[in-house]
Amino acid sequence: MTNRRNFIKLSIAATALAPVAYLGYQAMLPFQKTIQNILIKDLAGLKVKSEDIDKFAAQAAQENPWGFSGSKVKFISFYNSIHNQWLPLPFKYKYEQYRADIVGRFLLSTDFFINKMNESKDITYIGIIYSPYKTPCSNPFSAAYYPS
Amino acid sequence: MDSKKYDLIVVGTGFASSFFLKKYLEKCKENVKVLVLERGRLYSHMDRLASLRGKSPSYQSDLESHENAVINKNPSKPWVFDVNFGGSSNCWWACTPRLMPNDFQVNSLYGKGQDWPISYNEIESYYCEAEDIMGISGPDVTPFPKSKKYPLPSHILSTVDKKMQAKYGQNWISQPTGRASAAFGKRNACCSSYTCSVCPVDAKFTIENGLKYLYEDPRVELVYGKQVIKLETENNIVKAVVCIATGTNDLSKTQKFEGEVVALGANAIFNAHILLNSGDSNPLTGAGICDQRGFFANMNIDMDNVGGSSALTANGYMQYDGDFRKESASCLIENHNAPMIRNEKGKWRKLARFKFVFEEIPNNDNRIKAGENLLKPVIEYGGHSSYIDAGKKRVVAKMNEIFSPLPVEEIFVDDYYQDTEFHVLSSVRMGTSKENSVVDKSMIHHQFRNLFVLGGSAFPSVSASNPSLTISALSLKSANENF
Repeated sequence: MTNRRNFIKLSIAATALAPVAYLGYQAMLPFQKTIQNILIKDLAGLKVKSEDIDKFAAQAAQENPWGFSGSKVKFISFYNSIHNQWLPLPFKYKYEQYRADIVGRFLLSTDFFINKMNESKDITYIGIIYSPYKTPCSNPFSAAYYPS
Repeated sequence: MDSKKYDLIVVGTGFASSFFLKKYLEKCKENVKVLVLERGRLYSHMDRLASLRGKSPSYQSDLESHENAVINKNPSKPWVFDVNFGGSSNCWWACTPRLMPNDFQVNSLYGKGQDWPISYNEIESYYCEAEDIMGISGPDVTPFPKSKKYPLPSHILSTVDKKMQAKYGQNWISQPTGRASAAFGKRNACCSSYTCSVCPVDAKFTIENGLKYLYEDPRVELVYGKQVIKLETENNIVKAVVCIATGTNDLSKTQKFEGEVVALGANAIFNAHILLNSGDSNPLTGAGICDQRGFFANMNIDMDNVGGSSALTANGYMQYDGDFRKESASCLIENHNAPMIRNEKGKWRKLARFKFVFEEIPNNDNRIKAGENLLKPVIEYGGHSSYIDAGKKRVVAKMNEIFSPLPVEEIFVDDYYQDTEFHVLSSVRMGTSKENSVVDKSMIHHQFRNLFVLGGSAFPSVSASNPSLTISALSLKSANENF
């Protein structure tokens, strides 16, 4: 009887702790994995090759082109694990801005904007993470690309 | 101690010093001797670029940081500046709106702050001259009066700007800027990199790419690595400048340079500190240190935001001037052309980002003080004025009305201010007498009549406009009127 009670207690505790453990696991994921997860989800409707996402995520996690601090990286990874559209969480807008930064940096590093955001075309990662110091004059929204 | 004598000693090599020196050299004799004391070193644009590309110069670790140069009693308010050759011209974003005529009369018109001892008309020709030197790009029609066209054509407006300008006319203009719209001198044309603190293509005006030749003039001796500590005075005349090798703390190893005339062109922290170390007893010396404040708002809009040809494409003046300034701060709007996206399929560039920058009224309780350490000024800053908060409240309440020309879907207003607008101002203000100021309308110290105190430290009030052009114009005016 005692064993059965202990078993039930343990089961309840395990059930209660499982989501916490899952969230903890998610927050501890390598940032590369977080970047991959975000890009796969947010670019689902575009013709992006998964190997390009993998390559970009590996490079970006190493180079950190956003200049995210360690605590910001943890915040993004953790938030990414609990985030959904209808849950009114604090700092949601901040998180979505960081998320847009990640998606934006990827798309800026592809030919998507050069092709004028044509969603029907295949998208190719150019192999260099977008940076004006590596590829000057490449702001795809500027007058150079949209002459009036 | 070493002892040398110069016709002019200039402290610093930023906007204030360099524009003053330029005019001085134009007007003075061929045999004058000028000494320029620069605290930092030449940290060239090429080296800055190399550093950002992962190849730091060998001296990188020796560079002085702005945090270590001061004792900041309120770390939540950073004071950012560059201590190397060219000063803040290295890191500015080259935004060069003029002050508006009413900015010079804020007390007379609105009962706020302090009037300038000069009018807009008195500085107008110097604005033109500074704009020519910097190769400013700007529009033909501006909300402030102009007697001369900008030397370079204006930058191209974005699709968003065009809609705003259609409604607001001259109150929504292509931003006047030192980011060249076409190749100018040694500079390339700006291509909207939006990393202007170090321009990847050297498009913005800097002292290095625009006025470095001044320091190669045979009349000028430029000495790097000298921190000026104080001035030696006698009978209300400055006799000498006392300095020390930057980075050393041994005050027995100072150097002294004698000069007929001295021009302090450091920033508002160090100009005040040098004066305080020199025994300046005017209670206003060091008082009023301040900065503008600004916040961002992002917008989702039902149109693509493209086509602008610079980092900041436009300035909006709809909330800049009016009777509201009796109660709440003036605001200059900036359109930020960052290569950012809206993270929604099919709407990638259907967004806009604006910044709202507010004027400030200097508060004498915010001060630069001379502490026990002669080398480090103490900054006591309690915070910005409620006048700014009232300005923000006014602008936020009118946000939908202001942006009515745009197909706005949603507006996200930051509920915080940016830490800094990078403008350190108003610690040695100019005015009509020593009872209301430290320097006169020519930027000459009321007490020490052979001492010029140049730069943003002299601003009696702080408009919403970026200050560097005005700092430069004031230096041209001061040197022109006195030599």
